[in-house]
Amino acid sequence: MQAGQISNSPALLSEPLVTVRAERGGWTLAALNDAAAVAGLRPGLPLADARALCLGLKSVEADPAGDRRVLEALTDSCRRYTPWAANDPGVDGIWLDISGCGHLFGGEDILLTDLTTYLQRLGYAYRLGVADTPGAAWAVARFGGEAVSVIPSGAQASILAPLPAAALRLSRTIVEGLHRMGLRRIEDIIGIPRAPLAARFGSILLERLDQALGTRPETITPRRPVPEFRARLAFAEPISHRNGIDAVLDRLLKTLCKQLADAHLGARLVTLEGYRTDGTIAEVSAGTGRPVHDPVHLARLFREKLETFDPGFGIDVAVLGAVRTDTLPPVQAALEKNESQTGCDDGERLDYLLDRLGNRLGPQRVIRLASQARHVPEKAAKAVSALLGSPPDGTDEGGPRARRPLRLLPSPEPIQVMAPVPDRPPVLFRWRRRPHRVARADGPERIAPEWWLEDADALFSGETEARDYYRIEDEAGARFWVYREGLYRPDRAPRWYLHGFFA
Amino acid sequence: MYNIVEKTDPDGRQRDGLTVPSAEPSQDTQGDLRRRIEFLERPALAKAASGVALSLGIAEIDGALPGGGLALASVHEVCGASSLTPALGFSAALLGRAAGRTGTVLWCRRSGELYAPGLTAFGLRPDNLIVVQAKSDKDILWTMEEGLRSGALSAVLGEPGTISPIALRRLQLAAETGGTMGLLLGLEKHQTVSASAMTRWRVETAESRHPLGPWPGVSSWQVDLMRCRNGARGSWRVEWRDGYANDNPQTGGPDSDSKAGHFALVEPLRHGPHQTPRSHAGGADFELTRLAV
Repeated sequence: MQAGQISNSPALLSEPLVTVRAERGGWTLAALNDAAAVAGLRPGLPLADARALCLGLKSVEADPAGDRRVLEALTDSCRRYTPWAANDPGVDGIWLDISGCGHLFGGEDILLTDLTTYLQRLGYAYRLGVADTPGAAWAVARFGGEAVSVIPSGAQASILAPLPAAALRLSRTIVEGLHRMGLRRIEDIIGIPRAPLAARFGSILLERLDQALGTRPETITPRRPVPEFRARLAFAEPISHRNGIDAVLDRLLKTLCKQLADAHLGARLVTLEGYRTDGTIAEVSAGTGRPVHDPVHLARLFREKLETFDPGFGIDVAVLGAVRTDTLPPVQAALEKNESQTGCDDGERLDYLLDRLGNRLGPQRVIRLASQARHVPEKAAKAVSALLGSPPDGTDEGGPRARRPLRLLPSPEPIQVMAPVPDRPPVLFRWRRRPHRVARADGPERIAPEWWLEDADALFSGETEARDYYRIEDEAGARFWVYREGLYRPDRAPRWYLHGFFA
Repeated sequence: MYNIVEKTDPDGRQRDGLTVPSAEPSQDTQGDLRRRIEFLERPALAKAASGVALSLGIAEIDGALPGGGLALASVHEVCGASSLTPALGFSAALLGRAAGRTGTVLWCRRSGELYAPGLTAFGLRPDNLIVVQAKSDKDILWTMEEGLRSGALSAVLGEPGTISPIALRRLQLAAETGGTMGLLLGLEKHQTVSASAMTRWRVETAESRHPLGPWPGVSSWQVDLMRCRNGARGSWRVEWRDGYANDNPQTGGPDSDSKAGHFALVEPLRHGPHQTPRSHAGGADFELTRLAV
């Protein structure tokens, strides 16, 4: 069910509505709304029985994948409260680790009020549990009986005691087994010896119990990686104007760069997240070729990308995080100002320029063209990103010793050739329907397939063959690089290709 | 008026009053006056132009260009007459010279046909050449402007399909700001003639020569200087003697051991200002119109 869509229309909420899924050869109820619950329906009931109980029941097919997507989006938007947000392994929960986040809002209770208003405005039904341990929070959220249940610090044992055993995140078979033994509540389980319990139900029961009570640690893996350094700003009124966003970015950058500089680090990838009022996120990132903590440079990188930053109806929380960082030791400031008043040298200026080009055009579009020691011409060159810091070595030790064309066609183009003498260059060739009479030619330069790298099958079946390259010049003075594929054979016409152009 | 000139003289030399021009103004006086006018109109440009220029290494061509070479801090147009490849080679050679041993140059184009092993013959290696593969002409112009303005590069070469006079003017201003040389490469039929560029070159392929036999030699071009601010037109046949000297023993010089080559004049067809009065008159006309403005 698309929880967001359905719950937002009040007309549907007042009437009994269920989602159904195909199960055991029929439709059974997967979830239902309050009106349907009042009518006496329960999840798991066959749809036919439900229709008999409740006339005019509306049913929609369940969409677990859609539910999942909505929940993940909601999880992401809850990162406005804490970066440490994760999906509950089940289908209906969100973990938020709000330790140390309360003071940002003026206290944990204010954070909770904010969160409940936020969820109400988005139209979700919610139940919140707050506790020292994830297990205890999970239990009170589902079995606490109140919309918001807060367990005071250290009071898990007393509050969890009257809750049913199912509150321990146990599988159905374990819960049923406990019931058969008369262990219905958590206090029943706490009271009895542990070894027989472990022997009967496996270690998971005790593990869950200890995790809920806080005697065994439990880690939550956040859905998105948590940046080590982040700056956050919340606004009383949502902002959507570009000038406002620029000002916010400047303030966030200043805070973040101060943190980074204090830690002797520089950012390699910075992400700005704007939490929109409608629960979605606007996100934009800027990457740098080498670590920086210069707010001016980062602001300039962002300025070009903010065009793609759509605040929608306005954003009310903005978070700037340094997702990737690198060490950047502080540099001693020069005592005397030399001619470079801007305070950066040529290499730094080049790096800054490359950062800006890469951020605007995409890092794969700002490249250096490197040679590599391969014989096949199209494999002798490769493009490497120019943003990878150190440039590749300019001296090509294994490069070809013969002259190579300035332009190489992405794939060789077939040409019609008149070459009267085998193993001699052509005297006339036709490329793209235009004839070229050859005035001068040089060659052949035989380039054999790289048998030590190629697929042996392709080699033996004759798919890859040696090429005889010729450097030729037509009567107008245009210089070409052509080749004949394979050796001359009496049983077939030779195939010629144009591969490149000399300047 | 004169006082202003004296105070902000680009050369910093003290002049002893306004000299009355003689009836037959010498070449020197003319050039001096031109420089002053240039300086009054656009100080940044004149400073850059009078200062440094990229020499082509051929005395005849350098002599025809004001400042003894291609002025840095300005934009030059290179166009191919029928095919782009010769112009590509000529500009690659210019870029290689501009990069020198320590500089970095930027090349913005749309297709990715440039071949690294071929570029080394022009002194362009992965450590001094950065290529931007842009998606659109707009991106090319933006990249060029950023590169020119940053001052971090030695030269920026761009291949926008077409360029408006306003865009060209923007590039020129960016080049002046950053003190970087800009090259615009394109086919002659696509480029619009504009007054903003410092020079305009037309490059056509020419028959190559090999000293030993009927083989293709080094790259050679027919290079026409179509337009040159404060200079005259000219036409030369130029070779690029690259580092692959093994097929041409005559080029075995001090450069032959390195991959970077040098320009060489093949046969001076006709010279610029001193021997062709027509083109000289053209240059003077141009100056007069600029004075009138």
